[in-house]
Amino acid sequence: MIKSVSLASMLAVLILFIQTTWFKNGILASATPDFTLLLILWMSFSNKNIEGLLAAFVIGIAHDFLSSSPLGFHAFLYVVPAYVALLIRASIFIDRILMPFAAALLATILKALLSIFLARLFGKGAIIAYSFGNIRFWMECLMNILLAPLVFWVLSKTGKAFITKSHTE
Amino acid sequence: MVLSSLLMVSISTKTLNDFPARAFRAVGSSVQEIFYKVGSFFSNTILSIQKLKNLQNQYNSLAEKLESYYQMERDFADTKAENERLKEQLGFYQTINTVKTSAQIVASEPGNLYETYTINKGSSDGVQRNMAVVAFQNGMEGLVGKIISVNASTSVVLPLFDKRFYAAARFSRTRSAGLVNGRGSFLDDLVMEYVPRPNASEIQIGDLVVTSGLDSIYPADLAIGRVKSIETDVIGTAVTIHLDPALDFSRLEYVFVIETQKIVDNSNGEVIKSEAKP
Repeated sequence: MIKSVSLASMLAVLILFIQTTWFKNGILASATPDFTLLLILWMSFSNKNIEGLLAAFVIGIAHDFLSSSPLGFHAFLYVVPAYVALLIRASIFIDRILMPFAAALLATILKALLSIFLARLFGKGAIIAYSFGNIRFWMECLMNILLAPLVFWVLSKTGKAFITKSHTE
Repeated sequence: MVLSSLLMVSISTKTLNDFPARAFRAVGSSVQEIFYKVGSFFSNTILSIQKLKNLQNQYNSLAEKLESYYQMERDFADTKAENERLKEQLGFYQTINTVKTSAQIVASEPGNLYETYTINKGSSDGVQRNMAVVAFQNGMEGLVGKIISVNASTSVVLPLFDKRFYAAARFSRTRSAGLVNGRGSFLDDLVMEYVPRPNASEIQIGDLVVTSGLDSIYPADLAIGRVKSIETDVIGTAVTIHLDPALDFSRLEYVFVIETQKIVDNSNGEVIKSEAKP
């Protein structure tokens, strides 16, 4: 478990570094896709235990360290979708296209709702929340949806190290 | 984990500068610098051929411009002398000189909510928290933002389009004051609020908005943006102005950190006040 979580976290940190430097102006409407969210979703769906949840927490904290967001903000935004994915994983079948689409869409919207919840809880001065009226959010959503099948496929072919063997179905 | 995330948010909203975060950012920003250099090397190599062609064209046009600048320089010297004479007559004998250090933007935020830039100058270069950051584009000095966090060799800049950014501003032409706030992306408008309603009639589309210097963070007269639209509330006593940013942030590479502010007595050039920005 520790190995898979550590490797996934390292990959996520590498992705974050690339996003902050090579794609610093964004890709569409200055927005970038959330590759780390897709990685966390895939880990939650692919592992039977709480690897996805742990990875979500560690990756979220790493994201917070690289960002000017309050510490714990992204950890919260990632842990809740990972937990939801963990809850529903047994009752759904992950196909190649449709489920990655749906998972990315719902997780991105859930992430936005959670940011709004945190902004209400701690105040808008401390927390910046997503806005459903902002095109940037929908661009991120669109990129997450479009990239999800590709990311899920690549991870299913190459990401065996991110799955704890004894719990793999 | 949800609870510990919430606990961390509640702690860190009180203070962002806790040690683990600072340590990770210090290491992270160094790694970001390496990534930036690797990316720059490849992109620069590919683009160098195109750049050579552009350079030839630019050289030709610049040679033409140079001739006209010679004439402008002569005019400027006359105007400057006249300005000095008029200032002396009006009793204004203090001017503000700013000392700047140049820096390169090496990274930005990983997500789409918060907006910051990481620059390759830190405390070892004299950069301090709350210093103003400016850039030059198209012959104009524009405000980029302010320093919010400093490491040894890198610093984090809060740009003016971030939602947490506020700056005291005024219209360059009419001198009406207001408060400028970002909207989260460099593609979004900036918003100038609290402009008194009676002053709204004087404002025209395209008017330049500059820093007023009243917030004692940003020096006065740095370009912020130009008026794009005016939003008038029927009931309110103030109007909201939408601004196009003066700088094109998608092309921003180099910035200048304003280090100190010296107030100089023009009559003999003696420094009568020198203060580091808070």
